[in-house]
Amino acid sequence: MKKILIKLSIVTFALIMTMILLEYLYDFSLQNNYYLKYSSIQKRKINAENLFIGSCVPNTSISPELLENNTYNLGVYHSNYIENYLALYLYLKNNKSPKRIFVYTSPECFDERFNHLNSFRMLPHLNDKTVNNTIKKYDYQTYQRSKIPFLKYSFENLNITYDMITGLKHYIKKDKQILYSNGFIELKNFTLKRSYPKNYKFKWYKKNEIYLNKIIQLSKSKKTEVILYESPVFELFATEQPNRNEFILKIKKLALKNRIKFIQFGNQYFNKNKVNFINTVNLSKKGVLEFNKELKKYLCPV
Amino acid sequence: MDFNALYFSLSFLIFLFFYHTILKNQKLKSLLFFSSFILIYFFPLASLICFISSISTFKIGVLIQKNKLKVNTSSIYILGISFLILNLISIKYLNYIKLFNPKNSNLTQIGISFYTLQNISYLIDIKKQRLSNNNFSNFILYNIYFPRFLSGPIIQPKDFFFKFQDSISQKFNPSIISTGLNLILVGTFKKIVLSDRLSPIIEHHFSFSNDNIGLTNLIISFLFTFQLYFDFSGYTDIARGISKTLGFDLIPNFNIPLRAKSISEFWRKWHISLTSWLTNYVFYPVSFKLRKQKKLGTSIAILITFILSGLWHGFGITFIIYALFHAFYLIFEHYTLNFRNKLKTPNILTIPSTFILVSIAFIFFRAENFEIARRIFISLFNFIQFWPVNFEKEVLTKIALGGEKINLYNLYITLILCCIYLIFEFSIEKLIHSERIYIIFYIIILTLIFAFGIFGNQTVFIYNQF
Repeated sequence: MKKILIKLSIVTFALIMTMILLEYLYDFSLQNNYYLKYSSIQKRKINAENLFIGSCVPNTSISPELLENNTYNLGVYHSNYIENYLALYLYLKNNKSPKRIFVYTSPECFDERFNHLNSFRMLPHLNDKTVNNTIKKYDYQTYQRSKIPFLKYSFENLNITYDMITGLKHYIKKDKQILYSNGFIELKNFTLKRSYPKNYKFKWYKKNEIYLNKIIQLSKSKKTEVILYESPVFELFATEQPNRNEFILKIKKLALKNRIKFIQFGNQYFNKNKVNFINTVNLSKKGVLEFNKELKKYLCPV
Repeated sequence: MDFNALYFSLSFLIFLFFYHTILKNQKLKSLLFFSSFILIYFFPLASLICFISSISTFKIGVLIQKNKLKVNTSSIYILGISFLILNLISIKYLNYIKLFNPKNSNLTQIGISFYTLQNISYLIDIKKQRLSNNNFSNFILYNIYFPRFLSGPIIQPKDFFFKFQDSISQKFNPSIISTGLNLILVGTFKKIVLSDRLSPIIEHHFSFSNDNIGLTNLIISFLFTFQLYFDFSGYTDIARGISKTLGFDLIPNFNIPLRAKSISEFWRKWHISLTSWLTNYVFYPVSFKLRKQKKLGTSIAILITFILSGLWHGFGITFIIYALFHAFYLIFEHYTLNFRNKLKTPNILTIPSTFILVSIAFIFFRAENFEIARRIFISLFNFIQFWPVNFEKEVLTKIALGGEKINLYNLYITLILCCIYLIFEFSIEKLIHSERIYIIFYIIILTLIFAFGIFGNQTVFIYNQF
């Protein structure tokens, strides 16, 4: 019996050590993955003058290379304002405050159908108190799961193991070459299609409004100018949403209340041309070129 | 794996400790109590149906044995069997027409197919005087014994009533814990790493309109065979592992079936407990009755056995077609036995062809409805659109559910892990049945589970629905 107990203790100890090492490997590798925006902004100094934040729309339409100035694109796919707030918070932890922060603001940003808090991206950063508390408040299940011994990453294996291996590869190869160094992800060629049904009514989620306000307050506390902006929208589809204008009015009121600008880019010619879009709000390759020209004029007026 | 699984694991570990220490003289009672607790706590509706069915069967069994009513025991026996079959059919049918709230419709029928077969064989054995039992607690435990309640393996009455009490009363031997742990670990690996990684691919292609080319659908049907095998055998390994730690050996339900060289060999190695139940209680009696018809009689017996097996799985037409496929395969094998024996086809041809035939039949087993199954099946024989023009776009991207690097990576990892398991299956089977603890093996398996397992998506075992 004594022999068995000793053997069992050795096995248990070995297994626990393996699990601790495995979790450490995930933490370490994910933080060293330069393709992951939230790791990348903490590992290197970007110190951009203009910072764009938001969901996939800024992520795939703001090209710092075309803008030819010190701009960084902090847009992340399917992210809502809670995630955007955490992204900005992590960015400011390691970088100088930018001169201007452009926050992508459209009716879609307040509706959970399109964007949400992707807590799995924040798992390697849960040691930070602000990140930890925010995840606890808005995604309690992920928070709870992350606290189960050795299972911090296991619930997100399908999303995260690939990134972990990539991070490990970066570390071993000492590879610091960033795939999307300025944060811009160029879209492949897509054909135009509807992203939601006709007559889709947007829903205004209060938590998104709260966190947009938090983004504004955080930026103001760093003495940074905040600008809300909407990139061009495809008019034919946009007119199909019965409460789009009502939402735009709400956004304008919000900007007014915070005494900040709200700019709607695009013009009649651009917004009517279907070759500029792949859906209501996401721009095609051609659209990105045109839009960045317009944006450049705004950022660096002659 | 979800929180229910974690709660179950924790409560089981606590129970196991007390079972082998304080409760070592009350093992039967404690098992009865813990099984009832687990059943009522996790599946209250199903437990109610199970208890009603069990009490009725026990009472009928007692009546047959004592013949208290002084009537012909055959009528009581037929009444009992009819009651069990009607109960099974009505619950399954009510679920089929979605009478119950869809959210908990499956909860009413959990385990019913399995304990109904056990109860039928119990009554048959009592009637044929192969068994006698007047102990109610023993009988209830026979039905609700928690390691096997959800999806078997089906225990034959003689195995339970003659062996169970002796097995669990034996002095504690530490090797049962190590063997049990081996089985649980490998079962968990099969379920949450191999089966659950394949699950979204299968779910997508068998549930929605399918416009894939033939090769893609053929690969997907192979993947479903893998998924079903890993899922069901994973469940069985966990059930056997848990039972082993309690001191009772459940029969293995699988014996490396994907290396079968013929369909008849496949059925000797796949879902063994159901196959042997059907063989003993349906095939043998029917073929005995039709023995004068020789080959035709055997063919009819095969057909009846498989149709019953199809109906046992569910009422959908797809299950009947699935059963007919296998009946046809076996009848064909039966008629060509002598010719095939002379031919002596090498394994390199027989194993893959058996696998392909099985996978094709499984299309009907899995498809959400007949239309999807028909489309997939027809695409396999559409030779103009069978081969892809662009392999990556028409095959890989479709199977990986997306062309992003992460999708392809996830697919490759799944395929590599499945292949590695299947290649080393024989050695792994040998290893898990050994009484030794291999630290390296444990570390590898646990690392794979934690790094590649799917946690928290709440996929239930496929056979829980039956």
